[in-house]
Amino acid sequence: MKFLRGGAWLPPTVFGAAALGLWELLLWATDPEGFVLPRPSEIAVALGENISEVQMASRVTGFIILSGLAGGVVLGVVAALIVTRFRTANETLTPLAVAINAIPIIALAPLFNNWLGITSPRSNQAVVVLLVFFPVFINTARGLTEVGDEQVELMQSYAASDWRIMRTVRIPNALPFFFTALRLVASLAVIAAIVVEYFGGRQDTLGNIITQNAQFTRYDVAWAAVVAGSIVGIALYFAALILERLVTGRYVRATAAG
Amino acid sequence: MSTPEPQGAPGAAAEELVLQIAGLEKTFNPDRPNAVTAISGLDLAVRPREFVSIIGPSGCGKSTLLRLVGGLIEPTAGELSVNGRSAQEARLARDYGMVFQAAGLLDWRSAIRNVELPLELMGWSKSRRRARAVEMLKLVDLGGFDSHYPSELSGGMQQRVAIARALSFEPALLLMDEPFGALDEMTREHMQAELLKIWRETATTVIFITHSIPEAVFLSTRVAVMSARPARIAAEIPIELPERTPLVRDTEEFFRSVSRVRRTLRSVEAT
Ligand SMILES: Nc1ncnc2c1ncn2[C@@H]1O[C@H](COP(=O)(O)OP(=O)(O)OP(=O)(O)O)[C@@H](O)[C@H]1O
Ligand SMILES: [Mg+2]
Repeated sequence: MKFLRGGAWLPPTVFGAAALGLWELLLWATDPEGFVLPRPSEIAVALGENISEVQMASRVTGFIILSGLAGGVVLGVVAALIVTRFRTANETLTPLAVAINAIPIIALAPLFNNWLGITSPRSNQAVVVLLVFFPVFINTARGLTEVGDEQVELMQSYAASDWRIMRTVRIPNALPFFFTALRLVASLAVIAAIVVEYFGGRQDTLGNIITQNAQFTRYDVAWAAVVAGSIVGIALYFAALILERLVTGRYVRATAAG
Repeated sequence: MSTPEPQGAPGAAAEELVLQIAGLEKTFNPDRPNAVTAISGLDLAVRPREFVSIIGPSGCGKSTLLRLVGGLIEPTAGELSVNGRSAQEARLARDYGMVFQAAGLLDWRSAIRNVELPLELMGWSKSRRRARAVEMLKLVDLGGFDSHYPSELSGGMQQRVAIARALSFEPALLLMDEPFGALDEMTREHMQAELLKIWRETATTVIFITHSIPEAVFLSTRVAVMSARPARIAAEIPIELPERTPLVRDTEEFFRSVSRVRRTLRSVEAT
């Protein structure tokens, strides 16, 4: 796997280190008391001091993220398959999905807390599932329907069934669309899960660590939790990327090269 | 000249025809303001092992005719039978090998896996279809390109993969829509020779759409000239050549046939 080796990692690593150094230096010169922003070194110290609490919270929030992500992805793919298989479903469901997608779903978090119980993980999961569902649904449905006419007609000329055309033409065609959505929602799910936790609920969550510590001006600890959330997000993004390379394999590299 | 009766087969019984079309009509979007009647009152009969080329003005309905014959779209009116069956039945019986104007390869499959596609659908074993696909790619001069993806092939090479794919299972009826349009002159002549060889060696009947008059004359036993839209077969010209080798292109008979088709096409386009 070429993308996991050397080369590709070097520039972002160097850039990231330089940015952190600059951040440290700039704040050390202009804001030594840390009123605006803690320095990276302070965040690192805070992370070390609160590591067990942050780890526990990462596990709780991580579970919401992963389960919500899985639920939203499965629902999105299933809905896309149904919509593609039945044209009438497509005509009614897609505009509906677009309309619902226009609702700011995170803003509904307090309502979900009311419906499903504020301490229950269900309300948090529901928001993540909803947020993940639409990009996956819309992208996958596009990939399943935007296939060449001649590719479908060719399959029909071989007397291929609709299901066979789905398997042989539509699903492979939709894979790049699906993985684009997956990479997008991997980050989106992290944001959604943490923001929902701002509205209350359990104490041992990343969102709660951030709000509580920000309230008591312990910004370095709040930032430590943000760092933990970023790590989860980056890990998920790369997991999606690796999955994509494993599934689409050589074809993607061929298109990228040619 | 405009009779649908195939040349040299007066009174041939319907069962002996591979393709019989009478009064065929196709209107797209009927009952709508943007209705287009592409084909109207079209008659054509094709006997087994004939090689019929169809030539006509651009946009007249040649591709539409091929898709009707292939059972991919339904006619608005008229009769169409393939070996005594409907186009749908023939399609479901996998009688057709189609080559479309656009290559229509599956981008995520290598060249060889594209050629294997129909064989896969027909349930050939893996080793058997691999062996056939290798053979077919060699035939279209793509021997070294088995594992290349369509994005790594030129337009002409993609079209040759599509041709290899259509020929791979020796269909009863080959329907080809300007298959050599994207090829350079040398490759084109080579592919024409190969197609003729396959046609001679197998029991295949070919319906071949082209814009090139010399190509139609060189390949065909008969050239059908279509009128402008709404299209019908305006004239049918039997082609008699002493032989079908590259040398025949320089003979008197060849030139005579070419100019005859050209005159007919011109008179059709003028009306
Ligand atoms: N799916 C469709 N819906 C509506 N109109 C169509 C459709 N397919 C073809 N037509 C119309 O039917 C007419 C004939 O089209 P067709 O593609 O058969 O022409 P053609 O003879 O193959 O042209 P060319 O030589 O350029 O390939 C055109 O006017 C075209 O606009
Ligand atoms: Mg055409």
